[in-house]
Amino acid sequence: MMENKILVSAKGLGKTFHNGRFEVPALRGVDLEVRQGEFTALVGPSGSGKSTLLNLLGALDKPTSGELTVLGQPVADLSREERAKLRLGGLGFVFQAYNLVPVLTAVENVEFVLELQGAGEGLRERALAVLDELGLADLADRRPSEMSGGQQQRVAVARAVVSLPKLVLADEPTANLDGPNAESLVALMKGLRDRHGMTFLFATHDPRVIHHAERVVTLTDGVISGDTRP
Amino acid sequence: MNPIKAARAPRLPVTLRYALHNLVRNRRRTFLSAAGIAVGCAIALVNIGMVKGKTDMFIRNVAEGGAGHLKIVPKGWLVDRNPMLRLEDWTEVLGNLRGDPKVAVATPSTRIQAMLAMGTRMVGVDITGVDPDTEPQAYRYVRTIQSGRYLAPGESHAMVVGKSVADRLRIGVGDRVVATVVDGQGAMKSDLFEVVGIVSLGNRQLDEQVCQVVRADVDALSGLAGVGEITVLLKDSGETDKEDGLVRSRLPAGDEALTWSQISPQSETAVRINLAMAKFVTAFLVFVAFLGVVSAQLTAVLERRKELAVLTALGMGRSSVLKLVFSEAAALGILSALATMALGGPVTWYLAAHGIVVLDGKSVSAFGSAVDPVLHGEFGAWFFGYAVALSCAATLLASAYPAWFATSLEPAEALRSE
Repeated sequence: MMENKILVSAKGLGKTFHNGRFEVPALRGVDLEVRQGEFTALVGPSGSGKSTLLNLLGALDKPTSGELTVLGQPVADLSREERAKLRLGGLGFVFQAYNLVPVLTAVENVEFVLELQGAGEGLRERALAVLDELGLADLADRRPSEMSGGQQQRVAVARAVVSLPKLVLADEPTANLDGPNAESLVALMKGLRDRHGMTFLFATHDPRVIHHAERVVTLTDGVISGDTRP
Repeated sequence: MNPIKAARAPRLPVTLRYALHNLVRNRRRTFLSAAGIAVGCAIALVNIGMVKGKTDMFIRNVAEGGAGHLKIVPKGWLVDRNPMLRLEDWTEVLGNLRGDPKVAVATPSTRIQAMLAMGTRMVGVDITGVDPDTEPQAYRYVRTIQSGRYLAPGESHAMVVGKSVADRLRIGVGDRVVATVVDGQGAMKSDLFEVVGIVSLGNRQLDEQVCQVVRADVDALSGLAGVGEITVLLKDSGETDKEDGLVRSRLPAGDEALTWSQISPQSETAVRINLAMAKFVTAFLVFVAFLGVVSAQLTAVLERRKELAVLTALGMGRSSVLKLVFSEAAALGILSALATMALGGPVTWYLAAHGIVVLDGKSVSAFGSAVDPVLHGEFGAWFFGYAVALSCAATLLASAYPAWFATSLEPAEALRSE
């Protein structure tokens, strides 16, 4: 079954930061598996290690200890360039602060990812199609400064999913959105999961989002303290 | 416009559009960076233009001061410059040279050491026997006659002297002087010459070099037929080495061709020093501008640290980051090149066309040659090539460190630090 395919496997995952002479452990032995098609919320108080875990799962960083396999590749053994290729080929990211390129229009922001992939012909058509699917066709030629926060975050989602990645990681995607926009964004992501079979893992402490999740992983002081399927 | 057609319309790649937008997003920095490069490169190019002009003038003055671009002489002449040596087959050599399209003028001459006397006053000189038709084209010192006239073809016992010779002998135009020589057989011989012209170069040393008669008179004094040397001026001094090889290959075995730098090595040294200084000044100016652009470009990268981190997180690899930063640099380089042309072009052109007056109507000697009172720069197609090459090279090199810095960004760290 496709749904059972393991996309992420972490065993005893640890990450320690160095702050001068001090060592600050952010993750301490995390065991986690994420399977294809899951819609998972990663919850926990501030400083519990949610963003650090997302960075590791997104191959943005390397673990200090433990084993981590993302889309079948051992992250700790990959070079910077190999991790960049892994992200480009199979991962999508949505950030809390949208982080769209301010000088590019919505469609250019989305098209950029396809260009980085060397996707060849029809980049603009594909980017427009995704914007259209997310109800953003009218905003294609607007720059981020000409859009609301909710609109920008939807463009950020379009950018994350345009290359149909297997796994989309989102760090507090609704933190800067009001209630209706937050609900709408989660519904949008769920729709993409349903239509394209993508897997979503998002860090949040927003209860409006958590109740849409099909799995809730709780992180406390760098260890997983709960893993439930409501 | 139909949205599908609009989507399919040819566009620049997003990376390039992004790079161009980045230049516009902080116009003041882009302007200052381009201006910094442009001012540095423009000053460097004005300097190069002046040095090129100065070098050309220097070579021209050495060449037209008697050395020629090339001089055909009997083998061994350079050792002691013996005026009694003669070329093997000067008529054929001269004919070949005058038939060469790259040769501006070729003029034969013969020298003899003499003592000029007027009453109780005497001066030692080298009398040069010349062809009056072609000599003034090759020897600039006789172009400006202070009083009297230059030699006429076919006349005999007429002489043109430098002002210092005339002053020491206290003679003027129309006076007669006695020239005493030792001829080719070792016998002493004298003859009487009428001074028909006096040359003044404003420099005693140079004036003393001028004492000319027609070539037949020197033949008669020396008792030797033939020609001692042929001075060659080329239409393009840059062709000297190439032409030297061609001329050598056509010379009789007993003759040789010498370049101006072989005849006057101290002049070549002066040219080399001049060029070395120009290179140093150019490099220094471009380096100062370069440092400014490094700083501006690094600031541009630092300001976009998070943006670059996000793009790296999305999968932008090292090559794409380099492409982005160098695309910006290339665009900035082109802007800088245009600004360099706009700033430096008119100045370089003006200095080439009008020059700088270094002496008011007089000439002075430098390294044994006269120099022009007006120093002209040089302006030509090279200026535009240099403007593009210097500006783009400086900008691209200046972007190397910021580009490396951008590729070294750890996305997680950069995102965490915001």
